[in-house]
Amino acid sequence: MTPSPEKFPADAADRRAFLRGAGAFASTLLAPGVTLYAFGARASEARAPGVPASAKIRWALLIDLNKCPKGCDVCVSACRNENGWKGVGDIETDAQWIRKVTLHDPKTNEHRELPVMCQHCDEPPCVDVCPTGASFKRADGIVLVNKHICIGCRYCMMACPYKARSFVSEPVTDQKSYQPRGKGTVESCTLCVHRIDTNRLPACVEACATSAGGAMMFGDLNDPNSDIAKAVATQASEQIRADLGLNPGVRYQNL
Amino acid sequence: MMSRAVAVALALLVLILGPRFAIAPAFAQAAPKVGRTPVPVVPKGKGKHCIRPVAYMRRYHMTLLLHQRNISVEQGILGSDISIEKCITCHVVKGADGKPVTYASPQHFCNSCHSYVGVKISCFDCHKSTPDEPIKAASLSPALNPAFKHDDLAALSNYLQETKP
Repeated sequence: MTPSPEKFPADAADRRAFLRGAGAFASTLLAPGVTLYAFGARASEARAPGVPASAKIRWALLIDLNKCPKGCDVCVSACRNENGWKGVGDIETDAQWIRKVTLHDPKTNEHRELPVMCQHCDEPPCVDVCPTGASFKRADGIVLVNKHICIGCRYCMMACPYKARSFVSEPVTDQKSYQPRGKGTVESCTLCVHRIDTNRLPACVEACATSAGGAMMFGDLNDPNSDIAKAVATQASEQIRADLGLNPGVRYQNL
Repeated sequence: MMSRAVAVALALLVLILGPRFAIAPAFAQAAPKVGRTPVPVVPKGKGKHCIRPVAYMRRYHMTLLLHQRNISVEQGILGSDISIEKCITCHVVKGADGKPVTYASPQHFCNSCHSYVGVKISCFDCHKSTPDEPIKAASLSPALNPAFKHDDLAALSNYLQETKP
């Protein structure tokens, strides 16, 4: 019999941190039957150890295409450097977590480029089709692949209308410690989950702000005080293939 | 018929001599033995002790990791003392070139036992097997260190010969 690890002395520090988190949770009775719940930690702060991702948060991106110049691929290279995906030079099979897609309107001869990555849908088709449960949506709206149980069947790649996922077909050796990736599994944009969890911006957003047009805005749509929630409430923005009803977390302006 | 006989003879030869030659390169410098049993050369980790008692870790480290991986990936719970990154950080081993060795090397902490018991793990197909930051206190691989002394050779040998109830 394998004893469950819980029976062994747990790290006391973890428990204390958990209790601290619980203590920070306060509720105020405003009126009979009406209770205001307030959490100690704001969504924008790094989560305390031992606290799971919150379902009260909906991480999202807002990309202003007027600030996204033609031929600029700062976000793509930032993503590549951050997450360590690089190809072997075969466009058919190389990983692409984010790519620039060019739109052309023949009537006006307008060219527009938009960065397209995993759209982190509310109703992700990749999750629906996954036979093992490896493709999943985390409580805070980030769609991820649990590579521990991914069998590499690539159903999710077929199901994704944005072609956001890639299959790793070559052995990988020099991974990033925070971004494990390996042959035989499917991968895609994680919204830089390792950065979000430590209260940092996704690599593409940071790079766009520092060395490009600052077209990308990241934040919590469920927090009415966040910049992104205010922006989508007051300015026109759209989702690509909104007709599919997947409610992507990535929205575009001036498409 | 003749070739079959040769094949059988070769197989027998490998069976008899195999273990010695197969194990010898991995533990070239020191192949400690307790009685008739060779034991793996397990490099010492950094720090005073592991996150759980050694006897527990020997048998159940995989259970800890399996349990934790679901928690951290699916729920996003961070900050646990159980993590594969911490395993390879404390148990980093320097190779001859002074750099931490990867899992591909028989001197890697994880591989030193796994190769001995013939376990094939897929952890390092995806996970990095060397720590991120430069480790100053990393120990030299025992296989390259003639002064290496096995601390609890007897305990390790007992563990290896233990039968599960």
